Amino acid sequence: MRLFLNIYPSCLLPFGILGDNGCRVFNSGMKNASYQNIRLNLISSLLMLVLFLNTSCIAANSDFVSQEEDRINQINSVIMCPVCPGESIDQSQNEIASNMRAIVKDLVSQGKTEDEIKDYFVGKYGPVILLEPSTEGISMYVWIVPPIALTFAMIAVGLAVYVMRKRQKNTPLNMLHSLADEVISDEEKEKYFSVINRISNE
Amino acid sequence: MVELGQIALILSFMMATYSTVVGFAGGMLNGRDLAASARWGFYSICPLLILATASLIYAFVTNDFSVKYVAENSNIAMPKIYSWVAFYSGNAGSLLYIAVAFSVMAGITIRILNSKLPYTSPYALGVMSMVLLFFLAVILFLANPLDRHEIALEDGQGMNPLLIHFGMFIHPPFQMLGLISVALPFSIAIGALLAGRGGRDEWVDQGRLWGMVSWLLLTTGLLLGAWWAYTILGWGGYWAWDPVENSALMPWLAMTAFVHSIMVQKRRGMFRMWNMVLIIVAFAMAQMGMFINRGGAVPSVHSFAESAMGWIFLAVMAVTLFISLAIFIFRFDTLKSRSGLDSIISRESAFLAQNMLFLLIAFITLWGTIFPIFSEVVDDTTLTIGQPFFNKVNGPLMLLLVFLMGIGPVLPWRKAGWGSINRMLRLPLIVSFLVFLLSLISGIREYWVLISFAICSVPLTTVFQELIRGSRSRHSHGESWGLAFFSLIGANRPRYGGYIVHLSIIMLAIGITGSSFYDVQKDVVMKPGDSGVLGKYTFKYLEVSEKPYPDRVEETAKFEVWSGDKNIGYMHPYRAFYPEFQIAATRGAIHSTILEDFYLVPSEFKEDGQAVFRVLVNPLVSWMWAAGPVLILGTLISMSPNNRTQRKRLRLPDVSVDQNPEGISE
Amino acid sequence: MLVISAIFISLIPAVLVAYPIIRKIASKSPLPEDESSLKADLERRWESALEGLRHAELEMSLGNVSESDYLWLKEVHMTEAALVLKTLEISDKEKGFLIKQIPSDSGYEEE
Repeated sequence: MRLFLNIYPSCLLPFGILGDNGCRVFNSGMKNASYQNIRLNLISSLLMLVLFLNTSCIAANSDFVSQEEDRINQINSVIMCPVCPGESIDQSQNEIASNMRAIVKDLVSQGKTEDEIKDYFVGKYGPVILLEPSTEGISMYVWIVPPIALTFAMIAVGLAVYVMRKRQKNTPLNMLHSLADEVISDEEKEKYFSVINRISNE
Repeated sequence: MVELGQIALILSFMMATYSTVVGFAGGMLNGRDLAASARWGFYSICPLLILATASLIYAFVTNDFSVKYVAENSNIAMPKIYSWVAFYSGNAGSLLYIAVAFSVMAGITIRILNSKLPYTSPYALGVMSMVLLFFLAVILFLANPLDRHEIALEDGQGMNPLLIHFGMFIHPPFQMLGLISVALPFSIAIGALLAGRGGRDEWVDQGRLWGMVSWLLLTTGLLLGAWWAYTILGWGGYWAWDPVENSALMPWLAMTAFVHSIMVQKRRGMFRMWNMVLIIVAFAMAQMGMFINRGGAVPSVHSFAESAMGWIFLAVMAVTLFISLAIFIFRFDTLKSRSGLDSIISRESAFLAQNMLFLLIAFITLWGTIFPIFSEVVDDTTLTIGQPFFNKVNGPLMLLLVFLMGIGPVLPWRKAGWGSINRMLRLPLIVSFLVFLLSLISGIREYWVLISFAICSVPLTTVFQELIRGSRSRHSHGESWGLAFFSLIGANRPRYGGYIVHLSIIMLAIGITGSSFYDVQKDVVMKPGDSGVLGKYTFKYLEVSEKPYPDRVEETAKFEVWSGDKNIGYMHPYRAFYPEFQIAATRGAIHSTILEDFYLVPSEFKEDGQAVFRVLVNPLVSWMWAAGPVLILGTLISMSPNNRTQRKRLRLPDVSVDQNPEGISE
Repeated sequence: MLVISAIFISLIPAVLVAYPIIRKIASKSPLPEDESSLKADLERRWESALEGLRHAELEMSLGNVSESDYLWLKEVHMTEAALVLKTLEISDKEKGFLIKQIPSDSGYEEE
C-alpha cells in the first residue's frame, strides 16, 4: 500500500501539471485555450501537488520508528541541556546531554510517564531545565499574556477602523465632487477628462 | 598596515562627528554648502573604513598574531580561505564590518536622497551619521579589533570550529547587513520628521525602496541562518527560537509589516502616523537584536559573550527609542492622514489586520525571549522558554497570516462589494476544502498539518487565479498568452512581484509544516558492516577513517545508502573534535530530494569500533531552501523602477495659463 | 613612511569637506525642486490619481470589483486628477485658497 502511495502521485503529477491543455497554454501560438480548461488544470495541479506532499509526509511516517523511541525523542526535545545555552538534550552533541538522554531512555523503559520524567529532572536541576514552562506559578504569566495581547490588538484594530471610517464619513467624497463642481466648469471638466483618458490609455 | 588602519578609524570617527553636526546645521540653517560639505564628509568615511577593514583582513591573512583580535579568532591551522572572513567572527571585527557596510549603503542612500528629497536629506544624513558615529565610538573606545599586544604570539586561539563552514561566508554578512540596514528607512523617516516634511508623504517612495532593501537583506540573512543551522549543527532542525534568532526575527516582522503599510500611505495617504511609529519600533528591534547578540542578558548559542558592551547597546536603544518617539510626538500634528477608510472590507483594512498580526507575533516573541529575565527578577526562578512555547503560540498566528495573505489579493483598494468577494473567494475556498479532504483521505491525521495545507492552498489559488484572469484579459485584447503573462507582470511590478514573494512564503510554510510534524529520528549503534533501515532507506556502515589535523581530529564514516531498491551512492558524515575548544563539530551527510531529506550524522565514535549515529528523514525541507531564490526574484521585481513609458505617463502635463480651448499643451 | 601615508589619508577627507564650503558650489547651483512644494505635492496627487485609475482598470479586468464599484472608483480618481489640473491653471493667488479647500488635506503653507 505504501509503495502504491509512493508511485501513483508521481505518475499523475505530469498529467496534472502539464496536462494536454496546460502544455499548450504557454505557447504563443495558442489563442483558443478555453478558460475553463485552464481553471480545471489549475485545480487538478494543486490537488496533485497536495497529494504529492501528503504522501511524502506519510511515507516518512512514524511507524518506521517505534512508538517508544518517538516518545523518547519527544521528551528529549523538551528538556534542556544544562551546560549548553538554550539547546535541548535532543539537539545538543554534548556528553552531558547524551548521558541525560540515556537516563530518559531508562526511565521510559521503566514505564514512567512524561510528567514523572519531567518532575524527576526538575527535582534535580530546577524548573529551568524544562524548555516549555509549566502552567503553575509565575510561568503561568507566559501563557496568559499572549491571549490578552491578542484581545488588545483586536480592540485596537477595531478602534482604528472605527475612527478611520468616521473620518471618511465626515469629509465625504461628495465634498470632493461638490468642490469640483464649484470650481470646474462642465466644459473644462470634459477637457480634463479627455486629457486624463488620453494620458492613462497610453 | 595595521597602524594605517587605526589612523583611518580615528579619521572616520572625526568625519562622522563632523557629518552629524554639520549635517544637522546645514538642515536647520538651510545652508546648502554646509549640507554639501557634510555629505562629502560622509562619503569620505567609506574609503577610510574600507582601508581599516583591509588592514584587519591583511593582519588575518598574514597571521599577524600581535594583533589581539587576530590571535583570538584565528590560528595557523585554520584553512587559509577562512582567514578572509574570520574578521567578522568576533565581536570587535563584526562591529567594524557593520560600520563599513553601513557606510557604503548609507552613502548610496544619501546620494539618491539628495536628488529626490533635497530638503530632507541633510537631516537624514545627520541621523545616519549618528548611527555610524555610535559604532565607530564603540570600536575606538571599547572594542578595537586593530589593537596590538605588547608581545607577538606564536599562534592564535583559532576560530570557533562551528564557524568553519561555507555558511560563514554568507550568513553573518547578510544578517548583520540586514539588521543595520533598518537604519536606512529609519533615518529617512526621522529626517523627514525633523525637517517638518513628513506630512505630505514626501519620504514614502524612498522609504519604501530602502525598506524593501532592508527587508530583503533581513530575509536572506534569516534563511541562510536556518540553512546553516540545518547543515552544520547536526540536529536536523533549522530554527530553535533561540534568543538571538528571535532578536533577528523581530525586526523582520516589523519590516514586513512596514513594507505593506507604506504602500497604503503611498496610495491613499493613510497610516502616516502609524508608519512613523512602526519604523521607529523596527529600528529599536534591530538595535535590540544587536544587543542580545553581544550581551549576556539572555544565554544563547550565538552570543559573543561580552556582557558589558551589550548593556551599552541596550542603553543606546532605549535612548534612540525615547528621542525618536519624542520627535514623533513633537511633530505629531503634521501627520494627519489624507483620507479615511471608505469601507471596512477593503485592502486597507486587510493591511491593518495584517500589521496587527505581525506586531503581535513580534511582541509574543519578545515576551518569550525576555520572560526568563522577568521571572528571575520577580520570582527568583530561572525558566527557559523554548520551542514548545513559541511553536504553540506563534504557529497558529502565522497560519492566520498566511490566510490573510490569500485574501489580500482578492480585495480591491478602497471598497469591495460582497458580490465580487464571493465570486473571487469561491474557487480558493473550494480548493482549500478539497485539499483538506484529500489530505485526510490519504492518511494525514495531524490536524495542524491538515489546517496548514488547507490554508496554504488559499493564497496559491488566489494568486494563480489572478494571474490567469489578468493574462486572459490582456490576451483578449490581442496579445498572445506568453506575452500577456509577462506584460501583466511587467506593467504591475509591485503587485505581482509581491505575489511571487507570497508564493515563496507558501513554499516556506509547506516545508516547515512537513518537516515539523513528520520528521522521523532514530539513534542507532553500529559497527562497520552493520546495516540499518529507516523508512525506505537502507544504510550500510562501511568504515570509519580518522584524519588528524593540527587543531582537530576528524573521523569520517562511509556509508552506502539505498532508497528502496535504488542505490543512491555513498554518504560521508563526519565528526571533528577540537580538543582546545572542547567542542565537537559534526557535519551531517544529507541526501536531498524534492520529497524529503535523508540525514545521517555521527554522534559518537566509541573506542570499541562501535559508533552512534543519528538518522533522520525530514520531509519537504528542500522546499524551504528553494523558496529563497523565488523570494529574491519576487522582491527584485517588486522593487524595480517604472520603465520610461510608465514614467512618462505619470508626469504632470505642462499647463500654460493662457491655453487654447482645444487642449492642454503637453 | 607611516607618517607620510597618515598625512596623506587625512588630507583627502579634509579637502573633501572644505571644498564645498570654500567654493560654494552648492549655493551657486540652481535651487532644487522642494519636495514639499505645492508642485511636488500636486505631482504626487496626480501620480496617485492616475495609478488609482490604472488599478481600477486592472481590478475590473481581474473581476475583483463590480461594475458599479469600478465606475465609482473611476469617478473619484478622475475628479482628483481634474482638480490637480485645475489647480495648475489658476493663478498663484487663488492656488493657496483652492488647495486649502480640497478635502482632508490639513493646511498648506505657501513656499
